[in-house]
Amino acid sequence: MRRATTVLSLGMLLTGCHHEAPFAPGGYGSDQPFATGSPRQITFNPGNDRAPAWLPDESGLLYSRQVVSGSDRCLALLPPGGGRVEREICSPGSAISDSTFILTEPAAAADGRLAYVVIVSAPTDKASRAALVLGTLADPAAAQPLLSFPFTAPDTVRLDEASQLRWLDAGSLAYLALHVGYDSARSRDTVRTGAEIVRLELGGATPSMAVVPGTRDASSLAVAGSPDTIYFTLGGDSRVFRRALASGVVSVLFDFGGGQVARDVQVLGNRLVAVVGGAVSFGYEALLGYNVQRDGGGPLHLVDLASGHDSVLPDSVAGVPLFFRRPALAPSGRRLVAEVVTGSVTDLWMLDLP
Amino acid sequence: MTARTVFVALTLLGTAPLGAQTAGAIAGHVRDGITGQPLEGARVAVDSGPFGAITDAAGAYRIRELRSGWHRVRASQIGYQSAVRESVLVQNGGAVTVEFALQPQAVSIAPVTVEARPDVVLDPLATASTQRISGEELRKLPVSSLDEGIALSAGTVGESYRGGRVGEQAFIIDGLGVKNQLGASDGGLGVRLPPDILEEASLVTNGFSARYGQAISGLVNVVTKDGGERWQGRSAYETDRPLPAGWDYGLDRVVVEGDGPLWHGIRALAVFDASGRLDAEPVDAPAPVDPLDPRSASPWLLPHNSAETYDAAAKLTIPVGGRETLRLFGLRSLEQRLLYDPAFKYDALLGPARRIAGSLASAQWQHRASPETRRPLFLDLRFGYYGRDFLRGTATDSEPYRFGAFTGEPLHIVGEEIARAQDTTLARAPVPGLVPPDFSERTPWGVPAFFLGGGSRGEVAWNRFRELRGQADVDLGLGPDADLYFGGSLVRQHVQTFERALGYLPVGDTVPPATAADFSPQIAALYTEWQQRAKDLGFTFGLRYDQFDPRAVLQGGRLGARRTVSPRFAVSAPLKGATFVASWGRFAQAPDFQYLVDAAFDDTARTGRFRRGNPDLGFETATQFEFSVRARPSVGTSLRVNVYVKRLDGLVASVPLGVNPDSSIFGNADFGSVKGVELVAERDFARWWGVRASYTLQQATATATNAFQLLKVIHVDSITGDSTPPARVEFPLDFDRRHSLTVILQAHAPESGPVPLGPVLRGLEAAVIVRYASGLPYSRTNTAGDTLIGLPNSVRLPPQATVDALLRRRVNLFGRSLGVYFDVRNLLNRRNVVAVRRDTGQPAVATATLQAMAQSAYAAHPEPIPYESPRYRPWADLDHNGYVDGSAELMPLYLAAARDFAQPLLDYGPPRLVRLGFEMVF
Repeated sequence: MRRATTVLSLGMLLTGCHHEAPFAPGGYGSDQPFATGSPRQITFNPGNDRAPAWLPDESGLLYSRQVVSGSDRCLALLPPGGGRVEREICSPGSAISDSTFILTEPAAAADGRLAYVVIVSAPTDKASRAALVLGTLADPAAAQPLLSFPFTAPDTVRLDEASQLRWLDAGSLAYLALHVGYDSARSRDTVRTGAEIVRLELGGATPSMAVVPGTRDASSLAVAGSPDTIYFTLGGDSRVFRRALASGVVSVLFDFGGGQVARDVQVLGNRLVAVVGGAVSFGYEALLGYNVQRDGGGPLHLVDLASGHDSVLPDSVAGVPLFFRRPALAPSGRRLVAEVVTGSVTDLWMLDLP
Repeated sequence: MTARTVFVALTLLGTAPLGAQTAGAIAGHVRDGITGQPLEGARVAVDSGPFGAITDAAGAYRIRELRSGWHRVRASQIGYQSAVRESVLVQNGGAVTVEFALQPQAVSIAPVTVEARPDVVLDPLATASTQRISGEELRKLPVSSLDEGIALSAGTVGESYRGGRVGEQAFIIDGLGVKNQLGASDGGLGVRLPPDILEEASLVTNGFSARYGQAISGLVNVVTKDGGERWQGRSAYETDRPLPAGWDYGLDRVVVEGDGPLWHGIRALAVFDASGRLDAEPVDAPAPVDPLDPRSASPWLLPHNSAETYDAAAKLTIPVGGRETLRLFGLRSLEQRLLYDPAFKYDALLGPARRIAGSLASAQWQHRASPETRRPLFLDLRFGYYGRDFLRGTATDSEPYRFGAFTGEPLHIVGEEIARAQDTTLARAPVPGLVPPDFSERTPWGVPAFFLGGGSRGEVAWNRFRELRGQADVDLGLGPDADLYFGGSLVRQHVQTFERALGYLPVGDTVPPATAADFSPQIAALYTEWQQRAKDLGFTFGLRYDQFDPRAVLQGGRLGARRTVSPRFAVSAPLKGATFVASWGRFAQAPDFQYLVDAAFDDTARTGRFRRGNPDLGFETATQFEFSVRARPSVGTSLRVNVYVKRLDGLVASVPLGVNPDSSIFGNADFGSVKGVELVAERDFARWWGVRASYTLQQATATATNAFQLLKVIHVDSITGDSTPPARVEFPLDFDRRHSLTVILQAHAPESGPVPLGPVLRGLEAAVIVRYASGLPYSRTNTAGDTLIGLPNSVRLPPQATVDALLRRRVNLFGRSLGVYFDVRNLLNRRNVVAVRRDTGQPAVATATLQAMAQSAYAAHPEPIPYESPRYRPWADLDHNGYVDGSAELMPLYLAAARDFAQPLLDYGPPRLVRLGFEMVF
């Protein structure tokens, strides 16, 4: 009996032992930013990093990252404090085509869906083509196009692209539609400027859309948790507007006054963040045939909506001025990430909020 | 059938043979024990079955077509005391001589049992050079498979026999020919016979019977066991789990075998053999010098290199009436492997993978003549199905390991459905699910160079080969001194292939279209063989007719069948205690059908060349002369010497097609020769131990070493435009191993009786295999790799040596026999070099080459690596500015990556491999 027990025990011991595992690469990155302090640089990409957007639970930060070796741009996911890119979502066409694929304007919903914009331009194309697509963060490759650009809106405005995608609720999105033109006077620079705000309902078999009235020349769009309310700015305007979508009532949420141009608004509770002033211009450009707001960035303003107190967030590091664009206020309201324009390169910086 | 075919068939049927290879015979004389006079009419019976013979006027008898294995032979005659010989070992293709001397008696008394000492070494009628290994021996030696067992034979280098190319052999399983005719040269059989089902396996390398074709260098002849007369079995589990790191390569193997009687004399046998290994092909490469290389901490297991195999076989032996037997056999094998690719070693999720499934089913109906008949006739009718399904490409999400390397799930390959549908139109678009690879970000070095990830090679390769074979074999005894064998076979085959390279890209200028083929070749053969004995002389004459018809449509028409006739002859004679055998034979085999179709089998991806198939290929042939001597210098020892010369002709090679240097076509263009001497010395197992040593001296040369080697048959002068045939120089073949020595030593301490150190040694079994082999040839090139230095294969690798050992201890527990064993391969952990770089002649890459690799990679990607990039490595950011940039920071990374990538892992043979086994025999 003892021998049987011994044999049985030995057999169980053998099968219970684990095999060695083959070697595997280690973790080589960090979930912390390279620099400390506020503001602090969190991306150092020699290419452009743009359109930051927080995940709804603030567990990460999505942005559009230019591939260093080309013009393509992918969506990248950073840890919430910065550090090493955890994931990158690129167009499968990038590797098999000589076209340029830009994935940008990510907007993640609380249920894991991910809306973003894909812009494709072939070397022979006179103009790029764009689409607003919807997938999931878990399986971005399964994204389906919701809307293809360009198209002419019911109000006869030609809309070329979408930006600043915002989830109103699980069934609807709003976005800032853009005019896209080519400035032949400046070596065919691509000029993107806000056209108007569009609401997109996803409930039906095909999405339905409606232009939000009174948003012609809109320059930015924000939501703050209510599916019925949007906040926006207009080109060349110092005011931040609030619009109740159901009733159509528009009111001024805050006016920075002084002839300053407010844009890139973000609202959370009593906090309002916007870029105000700086290297910005607005005006009609005859060559393009519509109003254009050119934006080289500016200082960030933080407004306490309860008290109306407007403060300028730190806008320089070691005496070097920082020109911010497209701030993304974290869901906690304690920090924000914004583009900083340095010459022709845009990186992301993070600021802690008081 | 053409008039020529009819003529040849009639000619064959009218002529005569040599010994069949699925069974053996017992022959001898029955004499009066007092006078020595021959006894006519004595009955010699085998076992309790219907096998037997009646002696003729000279007292001679011959019992044919006995299955290999141990038999009991009884001789009886009225007025004489019967005699019984226990444990007579019959080996396939051999004739055992058993002589009886019966004692006269007045009344019937119990038979006398004597120990038989049949002598197969001196059997003058065995003209073939046959090296055997039984299933029982396989289990006692440190080998795990039939292939490993066969490789112990003299004259083998892997699956090359007597210097021939791989694929020049055929398998005969229970008398039925089995060959992967689609890709024998690089594809394997796809079915594996579990060692536990084997009765005996043998390698025949010279004038093998005219019964067998489809081979020009060797026959692997396998006989499976029949179910036993009582239920018995064996189960075993082998593993290296409890062994320390560096000895643990993730092995688990489970074997279960059982056999016994069912009812009405029907006997059954079933075997299941499953094996899994996390590192299926471990290498004994030195650890890297760079501590940042993750392999430096655990240098043994390679990632993405696991394999799992499943083999299941079953057999029914059904007696039908008194002299007929029906045998039904089925075998199913599955192998699925993740294939280690150095480029994907850090990002192997979409690394290459392979799945091969093989099936074999056969039915054999055997008729035996009555023992009383003077001209016994044995008839075997066999029908078989053999199929092999091969798939290679990118595994979809690899199944998780459930136990060791076992996943228990089929491996799915991306694009499998398109491949099986052979949809070349759909395959013009990128194959859904395939993603182009990018430079991996997961390497320790970060830099975008050498290592790939995020995608795959983009290959989808599938092929399926199936055949239905019918075969009839007749053995007609023409008295005790002559046998006539004749028969034939008809094989209908079906070949389907598909290959798509760079499947993540659409077909275009740089991406070749998918290739597919679907055709149904037909192979037919007739043979006759006559074996005549005159006193001690044995003569064998054989003639075989083969034809194959690809039945492929070419340019709107169909090519006809190709035919060939192969005569064989052997004579044997005993002289002064030795047996001399001289043989001559011509052998032919149809070419691999892969060479009949375009591109295929990743040749395009491997070499960048587009190769055109040639449906007009003919037979590959060989002519072999052999002279052998077998002798017994003493009672317990034997010595065999074989001297042979083999001439190969019409082997498939690639020849240029037109003037395009990247375009070629397969043709029967290669020729060569093999010369050698084989020495086999053996001490029979007796008094605890036995030993067998075999040595081979061989020289194998040809004008091409494999079918893909480009053979220039015409040289066009670039100035004059004149065409001249270049010299057809023969050079050493890849398998030209000059010297090889294998020594097998076995020892077994008895379980009872006096044994020194009894408690320790009693019942202990030990087996040691020592192998030494001189180096295989390879070609040297200049540093650029574009110019050969000297002739091809003019330089040789260093010699290789291994010592394998098996130690088994049996214990009885609860009436069951349990065994514990250690099986150690490469016991001394000798680091064998199996390949080298052509430019350096060493496994390691030259420093200058590494520098050039790194410099080139840096020049391609000099861009800075920012902090948030997965490629950023903090230790490389020397100025701590958030970037790894500039030559000072990037070049060390590129150099380390180059050194890592160029590690010559696969240039080394296996390390010491230890397995611990438990078995139970019931």
